[in-house]
Amino acid sequence: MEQPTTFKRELLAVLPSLRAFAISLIGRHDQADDLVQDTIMKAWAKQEQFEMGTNMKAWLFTILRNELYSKMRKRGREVQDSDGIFTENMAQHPSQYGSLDMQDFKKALEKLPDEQREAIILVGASGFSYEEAAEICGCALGTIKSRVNRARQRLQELLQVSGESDYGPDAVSAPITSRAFAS
Amino acid sequence: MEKKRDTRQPPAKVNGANAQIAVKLRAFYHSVQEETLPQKFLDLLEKLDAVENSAQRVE
Repeated sequence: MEQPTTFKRELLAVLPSLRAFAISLIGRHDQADDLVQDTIMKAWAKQEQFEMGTNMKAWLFTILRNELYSKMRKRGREVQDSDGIFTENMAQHPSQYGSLDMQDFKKALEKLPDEQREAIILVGASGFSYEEAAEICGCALGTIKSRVNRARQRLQELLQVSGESDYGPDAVSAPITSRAFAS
Repeated sequence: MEKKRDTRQPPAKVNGANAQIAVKLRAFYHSVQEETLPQKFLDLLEKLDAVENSAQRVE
C-alpha cells in the first residue's frame, strides 16, 4: 500500500507552512496548534477525496480555513477579540519574534479584518497565486485582489511605511489619515 | 473612487511601500515556519498511520 505513506509524506512537507498560516491568522500558538491538529485529523479522514498529484498544500489550507471559520462561528467570534489575545500572546512569547520590528508587524497584522489578513498571507507569504487564494477562500478573483490591496494599504498606515516621504499623503491614504485625526 | 487608482499602474512610491510590507510579511511568516514542529503532530501522524496499517492487516 503506497498510498498512505505518500499521503503522510506530502502532508508532513506542508505542515510547517500550514502551521505558519494558522499562527498568522490566529496570533496565538496554542490555539493555532489545536487548529492544525484538527486539520490533520480531518485531512486524514478525508484522504480518499484527495487526488494524488493535485495541490496538497491548497487542499490542506482550505480544510484549515474551513475549520477555523466554523469554530469561530460556534464560539460567537470570541477568537476575533484580537487586541486582548494579542497582548497576552506577546507577553507569553517575548523573544519569539526576533526584532521589535517583527513584533510591530505581528501587531499590525492582527488589526486587519479576517478576510484581508488571510488574503495577504496566502498571496504574500504562503506562495499561492491570486487564483489559488480565491479558490481557498471560496470567493472571486477580483475580491481577493481588492482584499490584498486593502490589506497592503492598511498595513502601510499602521506601520507608517511609505516608499518615499517627499510627497504628502496620497489620494488613497489622505482620507483615512484625516479620519484618524478627526476621531 | 479609490477603485480607479488601483486598476492603473501604481506610482513608484506605492510600489516601494508595498515592497517593504511584502518583505516584512515574508520575514514574519518564515520565522514561524522555521520553528521546530511540535512533536505532538508527528506523534499524531504516527498514530494515524499505525491505526490504518493494523486495520489493513485485519482485512
